[in-house]
Amino acid sequence: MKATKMMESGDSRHPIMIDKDKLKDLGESINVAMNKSKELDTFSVHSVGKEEMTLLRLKKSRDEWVNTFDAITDITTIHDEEFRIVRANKAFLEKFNVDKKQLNGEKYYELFYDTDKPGSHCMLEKCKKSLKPECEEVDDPNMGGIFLISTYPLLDEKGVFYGAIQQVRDITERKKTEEEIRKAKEFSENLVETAHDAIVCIDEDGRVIVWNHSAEKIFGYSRSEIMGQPITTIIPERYRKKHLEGLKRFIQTDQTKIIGKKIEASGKTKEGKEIPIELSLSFQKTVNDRYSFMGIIRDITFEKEAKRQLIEKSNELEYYSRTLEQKVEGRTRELKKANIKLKEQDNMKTEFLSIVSHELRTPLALVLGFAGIIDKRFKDVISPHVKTDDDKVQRSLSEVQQDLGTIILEGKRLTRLIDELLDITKIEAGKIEWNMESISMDEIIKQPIAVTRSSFKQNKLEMIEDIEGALPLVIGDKDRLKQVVINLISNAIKFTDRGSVTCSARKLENEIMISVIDTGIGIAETNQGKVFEKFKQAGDNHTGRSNGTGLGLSICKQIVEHHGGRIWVESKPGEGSNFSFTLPISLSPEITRRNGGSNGYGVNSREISVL
Amino acid sequence: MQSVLVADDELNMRILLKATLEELEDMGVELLTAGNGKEALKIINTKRPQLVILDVTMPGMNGFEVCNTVKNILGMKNIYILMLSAEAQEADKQKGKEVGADIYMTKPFQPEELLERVVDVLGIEMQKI
Repeated sequence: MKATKMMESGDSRHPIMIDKDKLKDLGESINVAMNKSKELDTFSVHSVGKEEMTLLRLKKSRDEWVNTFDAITDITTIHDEEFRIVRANKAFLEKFNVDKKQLNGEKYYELFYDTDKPGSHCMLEKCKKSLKPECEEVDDPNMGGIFLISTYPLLDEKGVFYGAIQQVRDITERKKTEEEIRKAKEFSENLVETAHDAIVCIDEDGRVIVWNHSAEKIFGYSRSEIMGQPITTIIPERYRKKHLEGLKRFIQTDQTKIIGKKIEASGKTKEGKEIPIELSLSFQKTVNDRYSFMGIIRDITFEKEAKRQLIEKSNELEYYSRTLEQKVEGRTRELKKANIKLKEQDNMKTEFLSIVSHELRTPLALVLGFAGIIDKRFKDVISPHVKTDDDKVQRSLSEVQQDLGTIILEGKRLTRLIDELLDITKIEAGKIEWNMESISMDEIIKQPIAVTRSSFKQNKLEMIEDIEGALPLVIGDKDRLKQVVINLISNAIKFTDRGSVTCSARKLENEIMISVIDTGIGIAETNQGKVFEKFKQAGDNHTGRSNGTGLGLSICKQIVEHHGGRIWVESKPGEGSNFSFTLPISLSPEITRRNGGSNGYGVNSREISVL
Repeated sequence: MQSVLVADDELNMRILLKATLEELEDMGVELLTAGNGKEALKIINTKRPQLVILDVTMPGMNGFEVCNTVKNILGMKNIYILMLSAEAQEADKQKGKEVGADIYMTKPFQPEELLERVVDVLGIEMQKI
């Protein structure tokens, strides 16, 4: 404006007073014109006439218009009344890859549809008829997309149609995006609708804006009833104030205690029933910078009830468990008491037996002792002095001696019985002290053989020793094991009239087997299992050999089993018996062999002990 | 003169033991008897027998106490003490050992064995057994 004024001021001779920038509003065209007037050394306002100025302005306007026209991204064409393309913008030329010259006043339908008439949906045609702007979306496979076509009629001063401007906007992408958004929305709406949990959204004012099917089911309010209603409708009265305060605080301060967490709360149904709910809250900001809140609500009545029942059951269980524990404790106490009592009784039994054994020993010692004295005096003193031919006297003398022998024999048996009874009682009560050491087979076999040698001679039996060479050591109580072997040999002698008794020892895989084999009367199969039982003597009934105590084999079994071995009998009546027992082979044969047990006692003299 | 003391509270046992050992008298061995522990101790003190046959269970002072007194308190280690007891258990034998007894025999005993043992201790040549 300033420039114009100065130009109009008539100060024609004055060179240009304003810099070129100030003339920018005249556009680039002036510059062009200025460049073209290079022949003028001085450029003065005066030198540019009014007409030229108008021309320059026109040119500038035209350039502006052309630039604008080409700058429009929509395909834009100007048509004459016959719909010929009078002008097309750059977007058009690029889109259809044609040259400006090619257009050459072609009608668009000739150009694109190769027909001589406009199509039935021709927008230009419509526009020509209505003389109003027309707008339509067209899905044009020919052009390969969806287009928004806007047509503006060009009317002269009299309102006569002389052409139209058509703008075609490719909205394929937009449509696609819109479709995607629509689908996403539909999907999320479906999601909300079909969710098993209630999904409820409220706006900043606490009014319901989303209410899904599950919300309807849980709270009983239909969507139409609740939409726009305050959310407090479904909050029990006593919690409403707290809710409102929380909402207000969040909006003001962005501070919250519950958003993003899962909390347990109470809801109120349309019927007025209070229900336990689990609530997850989230929020978002809408385009207009307002909050909206979404709550996912689950009715946990069932879970609560289940939990309550579980706790109840658990408590019940705990109660029963405690009661049971108490009962068990009580029972354990009783059992312990009973056990103590049993042990006491067991001790008493052992005690009793040892007292009895002691009390029996003294009179027995007298009976046996005097019987021995009498026997000796009878033999040494009386018998040689009785000189008579009276058969009766002779028979009596002989009978007295026999009877004395019986007294001594039975007295000895009674002594053994007492010893063994005490033994087995103590073994069974675990009162025996086992003197375990590493021992050789020779020790537990040879000595018993030596001890019983006189009995072999007496009974005219052959003694066969069959001990394998280089037998490994075993761990055991030497004296007790000798007791076993003596017992077995004594039994064999007792029940064998002629033939032999074989004592063998051989190595099996992990054990040593010791056998005492006789050629005696044997044991019937039915009795074989019983011989190791207390007070059972297989031979008693039919042989009258009653010199045993009925405890010997039972003690043997106890001793062998204490060593981890087995004892058994194989026998055929009339052919003989084979009593065998095993002893596990010592795993540590290097165990130092102690020289004689500190409380060991002589083999045949349970009653003697060299101290 | 050699002597043997028999200490037992039971009269019949003293008789039996004397009868068992009567042959010794023929060889000049004196057989002494005591009916209880104290009496036994008194005789031991005065007569100094070579051997004592000592019962365990006696009223007043039992055999273990007598043995302990003789062997450990009075220090008469050379008196041979033969405990003859109806107590046949391991623990009793152990006890006998602890108080210093030389041998522990249980009742009932074999008369010949007892005689043999006594003769052996006294070192007498037996003509006939």
